Amino acid sequence: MALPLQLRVLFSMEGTICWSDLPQCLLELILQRLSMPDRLLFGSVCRSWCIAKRQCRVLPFIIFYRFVTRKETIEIFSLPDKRIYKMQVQEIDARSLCISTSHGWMLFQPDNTYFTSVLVKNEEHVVLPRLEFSVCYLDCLFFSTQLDPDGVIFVRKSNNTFLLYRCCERQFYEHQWRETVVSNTIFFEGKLYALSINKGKNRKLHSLSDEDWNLTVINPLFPDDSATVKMKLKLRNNTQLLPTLKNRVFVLVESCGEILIVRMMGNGGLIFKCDVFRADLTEMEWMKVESLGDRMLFLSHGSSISVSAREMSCKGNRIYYIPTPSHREAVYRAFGRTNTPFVEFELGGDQMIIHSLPDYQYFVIGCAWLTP
Amino acid sequence: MASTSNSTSSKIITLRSSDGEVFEVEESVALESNLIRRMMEDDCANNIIPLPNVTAPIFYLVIEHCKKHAEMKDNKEKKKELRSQGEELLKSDPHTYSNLMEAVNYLDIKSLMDLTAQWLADFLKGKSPRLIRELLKIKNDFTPEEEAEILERNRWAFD
Repeated sequence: MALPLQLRVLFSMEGTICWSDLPQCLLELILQRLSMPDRLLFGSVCRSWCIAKRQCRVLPFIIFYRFVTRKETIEIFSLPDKRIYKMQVQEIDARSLCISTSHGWMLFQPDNTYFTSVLVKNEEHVVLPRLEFSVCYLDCLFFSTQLDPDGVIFVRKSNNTFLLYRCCERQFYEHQWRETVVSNTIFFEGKLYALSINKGKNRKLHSLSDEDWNLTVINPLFPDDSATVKMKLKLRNNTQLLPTLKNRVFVLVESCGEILIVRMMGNGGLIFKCDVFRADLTEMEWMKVESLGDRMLFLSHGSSISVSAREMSCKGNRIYYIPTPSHREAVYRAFGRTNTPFVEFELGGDQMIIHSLPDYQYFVIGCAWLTP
Repeated sequence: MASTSNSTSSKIITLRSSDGEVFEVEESVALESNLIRRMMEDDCANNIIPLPNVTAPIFYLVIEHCKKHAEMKDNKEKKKELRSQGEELLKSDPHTYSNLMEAVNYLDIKSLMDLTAQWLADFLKGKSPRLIRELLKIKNDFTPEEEAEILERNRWAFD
């Protein structure tokens, strides 16, 4: 039945599908098999491949610094390739720290004492007005709405105050939350969500039944009117809760159209346990999540990304967390390792895996997740 | 449909390509395609199954690859043979290769989608955009300004 090759070639038609017409799903199959430099080359071949490259989801990178960095050089660790790339960025000097990343933008703070931030994406950059405080290790967020298509930058100044910078107005405005915020802020369905905790009468105990975890909601159009969604923790009979430890970090994350809270806990600065709760916004309840299924969560103190493991051919039900600098110091003291930008948990498992950068002996600082 | 389940493996499925050619294919080979499987489940299998998006020469290629792929499961030699044939086609007739990828995608044959994508990815590795365009006969539809911008933007990755 099969024709010899020569005949087949004669048969091949003209004017049907050609390379630039291949559907996105096929181009993504190819892209997933290429390393980062080859992906960039792929995107430079023709327009439709360029678009495919831009839309193709890949694992986030980790951006980090050596303790002493060469001027204007940022190093990026690519999770899919397990390689370190160097990136030249003008306008950024060696003392700058990348304090936040979202939508391909990186927010840098060039000076440790004042917040004169620079927003960088590819070769573009925007210099923000100077503020008289440091936002180091507080979260920042970049998002756009229909009314602000140029984008809005959100900066958490303290547990009660935040700033909004509308790119079209080029000015910061300060606003207040009504509650004390204890987590990062996420942009979800046009609104800003953060976690606030109401402690019960027995303030000394860190017991879950003694606390109400509430969601504080801000509409970017009316930033002075914060609303609070009072949530109850719903426990089924067989739900096992981790004992609450003194040292805890809460990270909010949007995953598959739902809000999750990841509670990370530890002792003496070292984080080693975590559990996850899902917000049921119709019942106003937190439900304990036993498994994340296909999802991988990439978290840090100020940012959160949810990725499908199947699309990346990785293992699901995993949490990857970049500890705060003090937590990383604890890792250094406990394990004597300096190049450990992130840790891994399997939800429901007991073990925490500490990840190191391969062939890298410098002390890494200022780590953040970066989605291309 | 009950009669199909206890038939032997040599059941023949009849398919018609977009240019009207009729193919008779063993059921086991045809079922590699999720599209054909769905059509058979929807009870279209008693008639000739039309494949309006696949031409005869491409369909020949698909069937041939399907058969080889079924044979190669435990056979390293066959695997190598299929791979070198794929590479040969990519070099000699990239246009047909792109049609093969598209047809495999349309017929929803997961194993061949992965294989053809892997061969192409291996082929692209380390090649410059200009060389890729030349080898695969892809038209450069960027304006000179866009191209310069992309080059400038990607420069850091190649230092």
